[in-house]
Amino acid sequence: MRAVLAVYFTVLVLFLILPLIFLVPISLTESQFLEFPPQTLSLRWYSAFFDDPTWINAALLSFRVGIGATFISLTVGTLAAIALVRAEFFGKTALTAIFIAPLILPTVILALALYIVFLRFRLVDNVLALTAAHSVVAIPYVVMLVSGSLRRFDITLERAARVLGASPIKAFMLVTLPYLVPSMFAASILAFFASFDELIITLFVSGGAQTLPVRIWNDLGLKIDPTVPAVAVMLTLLSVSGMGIGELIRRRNERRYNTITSAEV
Amino acid sequence: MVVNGAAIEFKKVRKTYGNFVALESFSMNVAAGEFMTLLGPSGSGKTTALNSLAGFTDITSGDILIDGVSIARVPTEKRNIGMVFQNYSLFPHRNVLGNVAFPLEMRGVGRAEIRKRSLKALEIVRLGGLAERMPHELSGGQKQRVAFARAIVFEPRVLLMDEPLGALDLKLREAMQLEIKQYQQQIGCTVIYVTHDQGEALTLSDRLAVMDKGLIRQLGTPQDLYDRPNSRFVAEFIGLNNIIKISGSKHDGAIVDGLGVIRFPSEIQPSQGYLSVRPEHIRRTPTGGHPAIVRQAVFLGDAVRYVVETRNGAELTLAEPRSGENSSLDPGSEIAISFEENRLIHLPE
Repeated sequence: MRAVLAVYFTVLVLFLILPLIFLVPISLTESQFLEFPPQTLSLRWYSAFFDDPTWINAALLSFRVGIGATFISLTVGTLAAIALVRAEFFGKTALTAIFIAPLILPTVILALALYIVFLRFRLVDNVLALTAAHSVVAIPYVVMLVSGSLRRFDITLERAARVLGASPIKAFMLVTLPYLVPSMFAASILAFFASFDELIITLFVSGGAQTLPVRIWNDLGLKIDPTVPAVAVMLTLLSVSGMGIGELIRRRNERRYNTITSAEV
Repeated sequence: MVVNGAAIEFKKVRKTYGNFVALESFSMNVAAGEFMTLLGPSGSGKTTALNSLAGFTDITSGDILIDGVSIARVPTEKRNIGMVFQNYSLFPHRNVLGNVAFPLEMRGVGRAEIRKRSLKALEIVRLGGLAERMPHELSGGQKQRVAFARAIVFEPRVLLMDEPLGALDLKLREAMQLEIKQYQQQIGCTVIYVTHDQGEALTLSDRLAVMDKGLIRQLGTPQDLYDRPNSRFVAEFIGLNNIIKISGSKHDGAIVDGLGVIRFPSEIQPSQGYLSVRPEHIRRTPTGGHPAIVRQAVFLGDAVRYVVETRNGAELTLAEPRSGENSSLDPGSEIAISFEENRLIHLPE
């Protein structure tokens, strides 16, 4: 039984990461084509990326939109999470569903709906509107992570701050918010990458402006050269380091707060 | 650091959650500088009473006064009350000094003054050397002391403690009880202390209120409540007690189940209710008395506790100090017992 599980586990993990691992040697090829294994190694396609202004502009646009969408979704999502966890009001369940919906709804449908609205209000080919559209898909991550963290928060900490002299807002800012920071950070990483690799909505509403995924997509339609795997490898490194930092923050927080949960038992 | 404690008055405070009555016409006067304990099982309303004084729960009706001024509509942060919580509730992202400084920061005290007063509060709880530690690096007892320092650093005249020792082990708990009592006498603030531990309540309190189902069942000094419980609930809650049903009366005493006619130290002999007698007020007697068989003997170190059964089926616990000449008994031994008559208590309900 153990052997079967071990085989299953190995196959599953390989299935998950093998495609990513293949990208690394492919991106390091000297050749014009995607070849595996590469005959000679070089960083040629990495410099190709940095030498081509269309790639650089696409990356910069993606960063701009991604960072903007992260800020919007973090603010809106955190405020929403506070209301959904702390307040009692009519239609709370429905509102929760609405906030999570973009995660479940087929993106094509969402993209189409946004496209129709954007056409009506002349928002196609507008970077701010694109950023707002991206934050729609990013908000669910923030709402889910922050409200989960807020539910685990020991409310007596906030009470302690209140009785010791803090107004409700001060108590929240000084005591509750520090507890939420790791989940907000994790949520912002997810939100950023939700925007950064968003393709479908961007294709519908960007009106030809090229974000990095759109640039890759367009490239694949014309020709495939190893710049795409090189970009993919850099993106993977970026997201892995983002997740790493998030995990470090989460661990530090856990060390500080687990004393409370263990005392509750 | 010496303050004048404030007088606290609960006036017919009522608190309901839907159909559940958490507090029913709760009235209590706490004198300035007094150590008052609310004692009761969980759900008895003791924490609700404390939370309504702290301002965490809005009361349904009634009023709460501090030094004669109503605080029922005053927001929590303006009540100027110190509080120690069961799980310490130290702010995990602030170090010890930062935790203790918090109430002073909220009050706009200057930085140098904050540092001076926070360190002084830490001196009082003998944690001067740990100011830079983070809460997760402290032991349970140290956390409790930091929580205490944080609660008194702004010199509140009222200090609330909600089962502050509940998370500590027995030995530490007993040591901390003495410390708390000592600090309170040193500072002089009024304390309202909530616990379900009757031993703790007896040790610490000037007076205590035994609560059940949102009501005060009895309020008095520890000695009052131990020696003269007014109900079966209080008699069972505080200390060990023998409680036996009374089924009638004769002219010379009450008829007690399993014991026969027992004479109470009162004018009129009760005909119903319960007889209550502490284990230490039951004696072995060489002659006369009630014949009984020892069922169980428990060695307690300084005393032996016997569970005995009288001929007519009453089960009693008696405690015998080991200093006397009496040798200890094995289960099955036949003895005779008698009561210290002036220690017999009649419980009407």
